Amino acid sequence: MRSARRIRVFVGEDERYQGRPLFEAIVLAAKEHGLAGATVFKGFMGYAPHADIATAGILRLAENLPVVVDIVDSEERIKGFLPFLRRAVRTGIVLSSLVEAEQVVPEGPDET
Amino acid sequence: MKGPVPATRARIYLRDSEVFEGRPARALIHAAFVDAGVRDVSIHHGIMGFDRSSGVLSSRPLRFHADLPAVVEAVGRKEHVEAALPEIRRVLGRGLITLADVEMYEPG
Repeated sequence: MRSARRIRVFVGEDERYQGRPLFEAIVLAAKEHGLAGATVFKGFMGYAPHADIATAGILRLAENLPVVVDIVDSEERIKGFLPFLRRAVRTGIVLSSLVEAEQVVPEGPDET
Repeated sequence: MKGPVPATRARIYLRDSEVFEGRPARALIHAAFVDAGVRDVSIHHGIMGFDRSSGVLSSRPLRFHADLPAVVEAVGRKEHVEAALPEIRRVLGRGLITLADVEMYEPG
C-alpha cells in the first residue's frame, strides 16, 4: 500500500466538452495524460445546483442523470491533470482525497 | 443512529469479467469481506473506464466493449477490512485496491 490521491468528478451525463460527452472527454484526457486508470459510474437519481432532480424512473425526466468519474493515481500525476479539469468541468464538482492504494498485477511476465 | 465511529472504506477496482478458478472475482471479493466481518459491501458496475492494460472500455455504442469495470465497495472497522485483504489479493488477478478513512454511522 502506498499513499495516493483519488479524484471523483461529479457531472451530468448530458454535459458536453468539445463535441463529446464530458465524462468521456475526461476519461480520454486521463488516458492521454498517462494516468493509471479511470472508472465511470452512472447514477440513477440526483440533483445539483445547476440541475433539477433527474431520475431514471418512468414518471420523471431522465435527462442529465448524474455521472461520476473516479481516478486514482499519485499526488503528482493527479496534480498534473487538474488544469484539464479546470478547463473542462464548468458545471459539476471535483472531489479530491488521500487514499492508500495498491495495484494488483498478474504474476509473471506481463502479457500486454 | 450511533456514531460517528472511525471506519475504513475499501474500494476494489477490477473488470467485470475477471474470474478466479471459474468464479467471478467480484463475488469472491464480496464473500471475502463478508467472511472477515465487514457488514456493508456492495458491487457497482461502471459504464466506462480504462486501466494500465487496456484501451478505453465503454458501453457507448461507438466504443462498445463487453468487459466493463466493476467496483466492490466495503465499509467497516479497519481491522475487519484489513483482515479480508490477503484473500482479496489471492483472488484478484488484476486491479486496484484503495483504502480510505471514513466516519461511519451505525444503526441502533
